[in-house]
Amino acid sequence: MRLRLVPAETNFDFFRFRNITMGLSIAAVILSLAAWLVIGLNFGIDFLGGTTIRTESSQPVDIAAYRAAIEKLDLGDVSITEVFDPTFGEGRNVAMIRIQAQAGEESVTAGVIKAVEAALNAYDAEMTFPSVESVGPKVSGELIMTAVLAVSAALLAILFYIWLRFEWQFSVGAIAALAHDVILTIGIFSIFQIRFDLATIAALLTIIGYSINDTVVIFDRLRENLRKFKTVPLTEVMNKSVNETLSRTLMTSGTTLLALIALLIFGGDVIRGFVFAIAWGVIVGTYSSVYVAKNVVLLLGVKRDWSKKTDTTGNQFGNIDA
Amino acid sequence: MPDDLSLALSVPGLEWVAFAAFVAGVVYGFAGFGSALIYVPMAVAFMPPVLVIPAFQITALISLFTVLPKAVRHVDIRTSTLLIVSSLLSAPLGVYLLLTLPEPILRWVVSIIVIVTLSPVLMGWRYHSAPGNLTTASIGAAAGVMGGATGLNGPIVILFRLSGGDSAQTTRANMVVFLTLNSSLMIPIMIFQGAMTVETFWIGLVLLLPYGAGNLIGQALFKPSQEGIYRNVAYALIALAALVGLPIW
Repeated sequence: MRLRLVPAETNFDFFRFRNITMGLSIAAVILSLAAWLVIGLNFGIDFLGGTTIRTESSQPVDIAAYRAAIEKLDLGDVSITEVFDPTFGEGRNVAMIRIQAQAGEESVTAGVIKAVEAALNAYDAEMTFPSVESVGPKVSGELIMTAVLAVSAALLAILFYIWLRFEWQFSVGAIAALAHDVILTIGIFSIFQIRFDLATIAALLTIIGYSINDTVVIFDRLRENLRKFKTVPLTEVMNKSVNETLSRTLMTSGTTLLALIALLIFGGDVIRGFVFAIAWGVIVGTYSSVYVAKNVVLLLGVKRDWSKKTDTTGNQFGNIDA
Repeated sequence: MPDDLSLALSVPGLEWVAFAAFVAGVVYGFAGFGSALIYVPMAVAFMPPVLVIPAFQITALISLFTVLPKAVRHVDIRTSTLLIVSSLLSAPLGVYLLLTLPEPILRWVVSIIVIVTLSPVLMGWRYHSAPGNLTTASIGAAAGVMGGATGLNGPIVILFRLSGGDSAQTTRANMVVFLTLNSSLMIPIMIFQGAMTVETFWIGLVLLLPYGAGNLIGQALFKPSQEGIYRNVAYALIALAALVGLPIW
C-alpha cells in the first residue's frame, strides 16, 4: 500500500474566506513595512562595516567584564552578545563582540583586533577567538546596493517571464505574492531584531525562488483547467486547481520544513538567522501561493473566451467579415 | 525585540490603556461602532496622546481582516474613494496638531468631539440630503484633520451620514471602509511626520491582544434580536469614556 498523508482527492473551498485572508495579508504587509521604517533592521557587519570577533571560553560569559576589559581601548560603539545554543556542551561559552568601523578608517585594523584579543585574554587567559570577520564601510555600502538590486532584479525578471508564459494577471498575482513574502520576512526580522546580513539576502532570494515555484505549479494547473472547463466560474476552477495540487504543495513544504526545523535546532547559531528566514519564507510562501497570488488573479479576472478575434489582433484578415 | 518590548511594557498607565482597548474591542464587537470613541478619551486620560493615538492605528489594523471583508461587497466605491483621498490630503495637518498642541487642549478637544457626536445621534438628528462631491470631499478633509490629531476620524462622517439615497447597508459599508483604510493609511503619514516611534509601535502591538480578544468576546455576546439594547449600552459606555477623558480629574 502506498503511503498517503493527504487524501488523493480533496475538496476544500479555499476561497470562502478570500476577503478575510486578503485583509490579513494587507494588515501583515502594512505592519511589516511600519516595523521596517520605525524600528529598522538589526544590520550585521556586512552592511554596517566593522569587525565581529567570536570568543570561546570554558568560563561563563560575563558581558560586563568583557565590556570593562575592552573599554580602555576606546573603540566607540561595541556590542557584546552571549550566544546560546542547545548544541553547546557544558563549559563551552560563546560570545560575539561587534566593533563598529572606526571613523576615517577603511576597517578595524589588525592592530586593534590584536589589542582587543590581548585585553580579553588579560581578563580570561583561556579565551580563544575561533573567528574574526571584518568588512569595511565602503564595501558594506556597496553590499546594500547590490543586495537591493539583486532582489529587485529577481522580481522584475520573474514578472516579465510569467507575463510571457501566462497572462499579465498571473504575473501581477505572482509578484504580489513574492513581494508579500519578502516584506513579511523583512518585517519579522525587524520586529524580533534578528541579525540581518548577506546570508539573509541569500535567504530572501531563496524564498523568492521557492515561492514562485509553488505559485507556478498551481498557475500551470489552473491554465490547464481553464482550457478544460470553459464555462465554470473562475473561483471554482481555481479551487479545483488548488485542490488537485494540494498534496504536492503540502508534501514539498512539509518535507522542506522538516529539514529546516532540524537545522534550526541543531544547526548552530551561525546559520540560525539564515535558516529561520527560509523556514518562515516556506510557510509564508506556501500561504501566499494559494491565497495572495490567486486572490489577485481572481480580483483582476482572466480572459476566458479566446475564440473570438478582436479587430486589434494584428491579423490583416482578422476582420474579414466586416 | 525584548528591549523595545520591555520599554513599551514599562510605560506607566499601560494597563489602563490596555483596559480601554479591551472595552473598545468588546463594544466594537457587539455594536459595530465606537471603538475609537471609547478608546481615545479613556487612553489619553492615562498616557500622553502622542503615544496612544498613533499606537491605536497599529492596533486597528485588525479591522482589515475582521470587519472590512464583509463591508467591501456593499461599498459605494466613488464616495469612499473621494472621502479617503480627501482625508489623506488633510491628515498631515492633523498629525502636526497632535505633535504640537499641548496635552490638556487635545484632551478637551477629544472629549468635546465625543460628546458633540453623541448628543445629536441620541436625539435622532440626521443630515438627510445627499451630499455633493464638494461636501463629501470637505467632510473627508475634516475627518482627516480630526483623525490625525485625535484618532477620531469617524464622528464627522457619522454626523453627516453619507446616506443620501443609499441603503443602510451601503452607508455602513462606506463607513467601515473609510474608517479602516483611513487609519491604515494614517500609519505611513505618522511615520514620516515622526509621530510613530519604536515605543508607540510596540504599544500598538501590545494592544492588539486586549483589543482582539475584546472584539471576539463582543461578537460572541451579540444577539441580533436585541440590537437596540446593544446600541444603548454602547452609547452609555461612550458617554462614560468621554467623562473619564475630561482633563478635570
